[in-house]
Amino acid sequence: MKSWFYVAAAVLGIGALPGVSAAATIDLYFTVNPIRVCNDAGASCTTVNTFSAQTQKIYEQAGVAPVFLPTTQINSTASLSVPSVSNVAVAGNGQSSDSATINMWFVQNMPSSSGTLFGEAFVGGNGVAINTSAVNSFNSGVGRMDTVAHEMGHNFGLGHTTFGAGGANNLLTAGSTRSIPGGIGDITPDGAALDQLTAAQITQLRSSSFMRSVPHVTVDINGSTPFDTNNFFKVTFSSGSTSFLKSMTIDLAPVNAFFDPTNSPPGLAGSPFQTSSLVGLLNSDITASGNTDGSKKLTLNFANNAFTAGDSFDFGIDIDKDNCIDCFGATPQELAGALFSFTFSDGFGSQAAMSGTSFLADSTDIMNVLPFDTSLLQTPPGFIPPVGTIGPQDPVLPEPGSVALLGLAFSALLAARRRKEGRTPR
Amino acid sequence: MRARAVAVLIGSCLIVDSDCVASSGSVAGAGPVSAATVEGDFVPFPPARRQAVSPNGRYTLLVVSRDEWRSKRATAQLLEAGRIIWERELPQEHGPRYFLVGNDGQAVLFDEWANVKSRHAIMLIDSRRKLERVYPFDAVAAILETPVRAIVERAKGGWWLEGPPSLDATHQVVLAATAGRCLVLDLRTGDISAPRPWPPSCRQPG
Repeated sequence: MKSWFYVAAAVLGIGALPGVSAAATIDLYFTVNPIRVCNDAGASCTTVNTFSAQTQKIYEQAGVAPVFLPTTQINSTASLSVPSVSNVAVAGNGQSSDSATINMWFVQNMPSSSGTLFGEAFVGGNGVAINTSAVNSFNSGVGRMDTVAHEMGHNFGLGHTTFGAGGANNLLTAGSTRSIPGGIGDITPDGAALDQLTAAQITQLRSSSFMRSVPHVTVDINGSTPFDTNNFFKVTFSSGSTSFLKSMTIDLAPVNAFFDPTNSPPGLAGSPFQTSSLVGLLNSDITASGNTDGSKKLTLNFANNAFTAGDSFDFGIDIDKDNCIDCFGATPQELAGALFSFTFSDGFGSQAAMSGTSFLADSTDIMNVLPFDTSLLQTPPGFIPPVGTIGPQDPVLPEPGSVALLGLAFSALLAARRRKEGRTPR
Repeated sequence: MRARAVAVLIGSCLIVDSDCVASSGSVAGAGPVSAATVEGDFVPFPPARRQAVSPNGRYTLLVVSRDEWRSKRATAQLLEAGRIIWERELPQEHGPRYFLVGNDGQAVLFDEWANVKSRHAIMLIDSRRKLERVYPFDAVAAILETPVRAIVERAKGGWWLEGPPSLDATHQVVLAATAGRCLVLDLRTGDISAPRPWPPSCRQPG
C-alpha cells in the first residue's frame, strides 16, 4: 500500500508534482457496472455518459482508477423515472454478480419539486443513480461532469460534511455549494483545481471494500545492451496474486524505432524474439504477435492462468531506430518513452511509459487506464462479468398464443448460453 | 445537504437503517449495502420570484420563473413605479446568483445559480437597454490578475464571488469581493477594474 504517499500529497498540496499529471501512480482500482435503463419494450433508453476521463482524473489524486465495465441494459419503465436510488437498487435490477462492483443506474429522471437531484448514492453501500437528463444537459449541455465521481465517493463512505468535505473545490461537497468544472482542465491538479479530495477522504476511500490492488508488473531494461539477445527485457510480476497477465504490448512508435527479428528488410541484420530465465511459466505459455520486420508493435500473449505474481522471464529481440537501421541497436536510453500496455485477467488494463531515469515500465505508474477489453468476458479467472439485458421487473403475462413462441425463444437462449459456457477456457 | 434514511429491499430482507437481521449485510449482486442512508448531488431551486429595489426606491428588478422551474429559464423585468420598462429572458440557468439595481435603473446580474464557470459572470443592462455589457469569468479573472485556482478557492457560492456584491455610497459603483480583492463595476461606463488598494467598503463581514 502506498496510501501514505497520497495522504501526504493531499496534505502538502503536491498533486501537481512534476510528472504526476503525465503519469500517475495507481495502485488500486475499482469496477463499475453502468446500467442503462430502457422502457419495458427495450426502447427509449437513457444515454449513458460515465464521464470516464474526468472520473479517472479526479480519482488519480488518490492513486485509484475506475474501470467501467460494459453497459448492462435493463428494460424497466418503472426504473426510468425514480425519486431515489433506493427505487432502482432492488434485487434483480441489473446488478453485477460481483458484490464488489459498484452498480450505477443511469435513469431518465429523478423528479424533485424543490430542486434538481443530479444523482444519489448509498453512503458506504453499493448503488448509485444518475439523473441523465439533468446531468447531460447541465451548463448548456457541457454536462455536470463530476456527479458520477461524487456519487461513487458516497459508496466509498464519504459524506457531504465528513472527512473534511465542505469547501467549494472539494468533490464531496454538497451540490448547492460545490463549484462544478466546465472542462477536464478545471479538475485538480490543473486549472481551477476543482474536485479535490482531502487526506482523510483519500484514506477512507482507499480502505473501501470496493478497492482492488492493481497487479504489479515491471519491465526492466536498466543496464541492458543491444548484445542481450534474449535478456534485454526483464519482465517481473511482483504482486497481484488473484490475477494473471493476459497480454503485454510494446509500442515503439513514440521512440521512432521498430522491431527487426529477421534478416529481411527494412533491417538486414535482425535478431529474433528469444526468451530466457523463465520462472513460473513456460516458453509455450508465451506467444508473440507483431514480431515482423518493420513492426512498431510487439504483443506478447500469455496462456490463461500462466503468468502471475512471483513469475518472471527475460526476452530480447532486435530493435532498430528509424534513422539508424542495422546500427548497433537501440539502447535503454533510446527506448525511454516507449509505451507498454498491460492487460490483466481481472479486467484491469494500463499503459505505462519506459522511464528515462529508472528504465522501468511499471503497470502501476500509469499513463492511461485502458478501456475494458470485452474479450476478457470469456476469461473468468478473477473476473465476474456483469449480467446482460434484464427484462421488466413486472413482466406482462403473454397472450396464450405467444407462449409457444416464448418457449421456442427460451430454448434457443438456453442453448446459446450452454454453448457459451462450453467455451469457457481453463 | 440531502440525506435521509431509506428502506432498501435486499433479497427477502427489508433493511430500515440497521434493523435488518440479514446475515451478511450484503447479497450477491447487490454489494455491501450496510448503511441505509443516501446522499445526493442536489441543488435547490432559487425562489420562483426574486426582486431587488434601487436605493432610491424608483426601480425594481424582478427575476422570475414562469413555470416554477420546470424549465431552467428565468425572466428579468425592470419596473419603474410598477410599470415594466423592459423584460427579457435570461441566459443564466435558473437565473443569476445575485442581482441588484442602481438608482438610474441599471440592472446588474452576477454569475449563475449553478456554480459554474459562467459566460455571464457580470451582466449590466441600463434602463433603456442602450448600455449592455457582459463579462465572462475569464475576463474577471484577467482583471484580477490572480490564478484561477486562487480565485475559486476563496469563492463562496460560484467560482469567484466571496459574497453578495453591493453598491457603494455614491450608488454609481458596484463592489464585489473576490480573491481577497475588490472588483469594481462602474455603472456609468460598464467598465470593471480591480484597484489597489481596494475600497474598504468592499470587505465582507467576517
